[in-house]
Parts: sequence; C-alpha cells; structure tokens
Amino acid sequence: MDTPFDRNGLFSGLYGFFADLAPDGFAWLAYLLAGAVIVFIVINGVMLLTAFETYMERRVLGRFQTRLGPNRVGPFGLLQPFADVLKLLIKEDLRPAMADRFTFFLAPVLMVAAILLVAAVVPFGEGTFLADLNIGVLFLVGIPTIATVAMFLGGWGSGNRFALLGAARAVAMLISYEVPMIVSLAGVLLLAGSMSLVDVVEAQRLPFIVLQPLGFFVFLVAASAEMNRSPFDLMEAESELTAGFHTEFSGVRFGLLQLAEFGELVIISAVLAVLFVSGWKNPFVSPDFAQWLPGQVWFLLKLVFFLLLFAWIRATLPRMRVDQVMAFAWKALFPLAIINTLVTAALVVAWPEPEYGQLWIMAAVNWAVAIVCLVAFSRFLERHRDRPTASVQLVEIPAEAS
Amino acid sequence: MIGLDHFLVLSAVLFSIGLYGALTRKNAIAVLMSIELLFNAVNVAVVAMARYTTPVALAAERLETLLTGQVFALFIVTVAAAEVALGLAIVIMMYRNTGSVHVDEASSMRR
Amino acid sequence: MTEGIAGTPVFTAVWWVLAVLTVACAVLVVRLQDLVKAAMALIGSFLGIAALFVMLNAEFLAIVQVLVYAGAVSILLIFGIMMVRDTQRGSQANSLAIPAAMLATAMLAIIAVVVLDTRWDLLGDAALATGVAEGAEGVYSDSPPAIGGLLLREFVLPLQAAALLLTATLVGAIALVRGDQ
Repeated sequence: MDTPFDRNGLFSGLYGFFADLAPDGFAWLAYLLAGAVIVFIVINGVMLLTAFETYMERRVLGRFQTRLGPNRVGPFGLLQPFADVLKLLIKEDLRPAMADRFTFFLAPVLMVAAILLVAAVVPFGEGTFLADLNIGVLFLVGIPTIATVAMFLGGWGSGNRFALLGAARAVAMLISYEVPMIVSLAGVLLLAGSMSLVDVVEAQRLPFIVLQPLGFFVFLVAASAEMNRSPFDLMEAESELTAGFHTEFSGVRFGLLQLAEFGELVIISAVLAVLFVSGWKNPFVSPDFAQWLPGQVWFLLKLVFFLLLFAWIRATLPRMRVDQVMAFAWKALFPLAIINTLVTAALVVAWPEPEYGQLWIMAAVNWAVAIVCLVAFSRFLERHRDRPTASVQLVEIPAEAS
Repeated sequence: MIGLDHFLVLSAVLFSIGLYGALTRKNAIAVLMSIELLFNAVNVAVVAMARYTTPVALAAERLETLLTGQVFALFIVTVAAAEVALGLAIVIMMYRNTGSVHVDEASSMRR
Repeated sequence: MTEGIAGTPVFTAVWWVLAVLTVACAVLVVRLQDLVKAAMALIGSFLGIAALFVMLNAEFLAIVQVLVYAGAVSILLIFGIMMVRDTQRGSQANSLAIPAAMLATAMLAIIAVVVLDTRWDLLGDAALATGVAEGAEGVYSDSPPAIGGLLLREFVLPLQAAALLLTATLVGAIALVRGDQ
C-alpha cells in the first residue's frame, strides 16, 4: 500500500517494517505502531534533552558566575538531573487546604501535555518527524496558549494570593507577547510560502536568520518572554511574589511544572533552529555543497547553540520592571514586527522567485532596516522612558485593641 | 458513518444549550460565555455545510471556493472576539457603577 | 489528512467521543455555579470543537479556534471573572429556567426535524456519501494558501470591514474601561 507520507522516510520505513510483520487486514495496526514508535522517540528525546539542559544550564551559569556548578553526582556531575528527579519523586505531595482539588491536579498535567504536543510537529532531521501539518507554524505558536491557561489554573487553584498574583502577571504578559511573536513569523512565512515546517526548512537556501534579522530578534525576545525566562521572569520574582504561580506546588507536581518550563526552552530552541537556521541542513554552505554531517546531528548542534544562547542571556541581563514589560511588548516589539513584515512583503513582491544572488540583496536590505529600526527604537524608548508614577502612601495602622 | 446530519444536529444541540444559558444565567459574564457557545455552534454548522454540500461541478474552475465556509467561519470568529472584548468592557463598567454584574439588576433605564 | 479514514469506524468512534465531550462541557458551562469552573468547561468545549474542525478538514480553522478562543477569549473571560466578587456561587439561574429549557428544547426539535427531513444532495454530485468531493482532496490538504487567496480576493471588503471592526472595538473597550481618568 502506498503511504500518504512520502516525505517522511522514518515513518514509511517503520510502517513498512510493521506491515510485513502484521497479518493481512491489520494495516491500521502497523500504522498505529509506527506512529507510536515515533511518539516514543520524540517524547523521550525531549525528556532527555530537558534533563541534559538543566545540567548544562547550571554548569554554564556557574562558569558565568565564577563558580563550579553541580559536579558531585557521577562523572562531571552528569547524573545530577536524575538525582533531582529522584528527590522530587520521593518528596511528600502536599495540597493546601484552600486549594481547589481538581484544578490543582489538572494544571501541571495540562501544561506538560501542551508543551509535548508542540514537539509533534518539529522536524528533527530530513524525513524524520512525527507529523507535517499544513499549519505547522501556527501550531507552534497556538498550542502553547493552552499552557498559559494551565498556568492561570495553577495559580488560581492553589488558593494562595501570591500564586494568583503571579499567575495574573504571567498571563497578562504572555498574551501581550504572543502578538509580536506571531507577527514576527509572518516574514518567515512570506519567504517560505508555506506554513509546513518541512517546507520552511527546504525553502531556506540561505538560513532565514540572514534574511530576517529583525524577525529573528523579535521572535527571540518574545519567545524568552513566553517561556518566562530572564529578563522576563517577573512572575517568579522572588523578592515580590515568592515563587509566582507555582508557590504551592511540591513533589511530583513541582517536577512536572519544572519539566514544562525547561521542556519549553528545549522546544523553543528547536523551533528557532528549524525556522531561522535551516533545521537539519548545513547552515554554512549553499545547497550545492555537501552536508558533512547527518541532518539530525546538525539539528542537535543548532539546538544546543540556542540553549547556550539562552543561558548566556539569563546570566547577563537583569530582570525587567513590571511596568516596563508591557510597554516593551506594545511599543517596541510589535511595531518592529510589523515593519519587518512590511519590508519582507515588499521584497517578496519585488523578487517573487529570487536567485541566489538576489537573496543576498534581500538580506542586505533587511539588515539595513533592522539596524536602523533597532537604533531608532532604542533612542525613542530611551527618551520616552516610562517612569513609575505611583507614589507610596503610608497608612497609619491603628494599634490592635488587645 | 458520520455525515452532514450528525454535524448539523450536534451544532443544533450546542446552539440550544447556549440559548438556554444565555436566557437563564443571572451573571453577565456567564451570559457572555453562553453567547460564545452560540457562535461556536454556528461555526460548526457553516463549516460542515461547506464541506459536505458544495458541489464540485460548480467550483470546477476554482477549487478554492470549496473553502468559502471556512472563510465565513473565520469572520464569525473575528466578530465573536470583538464582541467578547466589548462585552467584558461593558460588564466591568457595570460592575464599577452598580457593584453588581447581575443582568436582572441593570434596570436603571426602565425607570 | 482525514481523507483516507473519513468513512471508517475509527472516524465514527472518535466523532462520538468528541461530540459527547463537547456537549457535556457545554452543559457544564450553563449549569455550573462556580464561574471559574464554568470558564474551564468552556475551554474544554472550544477544544472539542477545534478537534471537530480537524475532522471536517479545516485544520486552519481549528488552530485559529485554539488560538483565539481557547487562548485569548477564555483568558479575557477569566480576567473578567477575577474583577468581580463572589465567583464561587456567582452564576445563578434566574426564574426563567423552565420556560428557557422548553424554548431551547423546542428549537432543538425544530432544527433537528428540518435537518433530518431535508434532501441535502440537491445538486447531485455533493460529497455527502464519502465526505470528500471528487477531485477536491488537493484543496483540503493544502488549505491555508487557498484561504489566504480567498480572503484577499473575493472577501477583501469583509476583511477590511473586520479590521475596522476590531480597531473600533479596541478603541471602544479602552475608552469604556479607562472612564474619565
């Protein structure tokens, strides 16, 4: 039987293997098994990478802060994440008396599920992916909104005001940063002419980071806000809100929330690798030259590069103030994303079928626009800086009658 | 075998539930939620109709016209989003002015 | 995506599961007294409808449904709920429950009778039997560009009107809530 998944070599291979084993009339079972094997690979790959990421980030942060980081458990401290997981699993699973039982249970599960769902569309090698949706790019930005809802439910269900405040802050920030994040991808879509992630990778004769510097910048910033990474980790600002929406979570649930947080980091890095640095392809040479390495290795290298970039950002930038965050999304990122879209659209109209040399002209125009816009916006925002207008009023609290 | 009838009846069921909610809830936000259900029910019906009843013979030159139903549904989504944003703004104003969001108590225009 | 399995028992089973889930969530929305839980049920209902859109080969619409309804509208509603008091028992029924139930049931009965009594394949070659019209699979498997084309050619005027509507809504909502500050 001809499978409808010609481009998915991994799936067709597995399907063929299982179809030979299965008796006649059980083709659907082979179909199911082939899918299940890829799901198994993807989920466990994300989990393993997340574990590795927590270790790497702690080591890298340690280097940035001239200390060692975890180095006791196993060789070079490599087994540290597993020790952490073990610790979280055997801790007592507390549920506050004020918590809403169902919501408190649902929130961590929903969050992890939403994050893992996104991994389904990421192509991690040529012909190796789980699904190639015709709406892949929208899927990437649409499904994490469910995690936003889960975050709110977690904060509300904890029955703790700090948790609720942290959740409200996080949700307000997340829905603001979603807008520039989606608009910044419009340039990529215009250049690729398709929303399927496999098509986006195949359309990158030149990595899109060269053609879309402004889009890449906006997406990077908005994505780190989406992940609640520093400098946008306001919702867990320890000095103001204890730990944000996950104040009350402990044990396995806390582990799940951490898994969702760092899993999202891994997946956003993968998305950046796919959308902006040509996924499984060798980014340094034009398509005529060799790959040098297998596509999966290239993909992994790019993913690790972005993980290191995020760790670097976290180690460098201080946390933003809560009133600056919203203004930054609407006054800086959103106009930048719109400008990027308009310029890219004009260039695509000018060269609908660009040759390799014309791509470099498009890149030059985009870089010029990006530099001019970034400088102009930073000067503008510097001049019209938001200063806190609220003044603290001291209220005399009457002494309690004893 | 799932056909057009199934989708249309499901849409009618959702519409009736939404109608019941919009008529019986006291809280204005709950009324808004019920109205969202109404919009969604209509969307299901529109998309199902476009999918099952558009004759290919009529759309032979431009097959995209088979997707007209989806475009209609997109516009409905837009209107619904605008409606809920404005509706909530009105509810919040009502809460500020009267201290209540019960639609039964918003009767100052009657006097 | 679903062309191959449109008529299979798996499709039927999935449809029934989704339909029951969606309707159950919708009933919870109009029956629960706790507003936050009602909003959660509403999100469940939205997601169920998104899945039904996928079964109708409308993947683009499904992801718009998730993005706009489950992601934005529900968050907006939850924020609205947070700004008012007494959410635990906030959503009570008024005295119209029985007449409203009768009206809704009557409406459902009328629509159901009309739907089941109508011959939908008036023009002959409709896709009623198989679910997908002959020769139309290509449109459904690559629908986003086609939808974009429709929006910017046939429906460009409604598109502009929708943009104007959204702008007016934005300005109106801000003006209303800011008040006379």
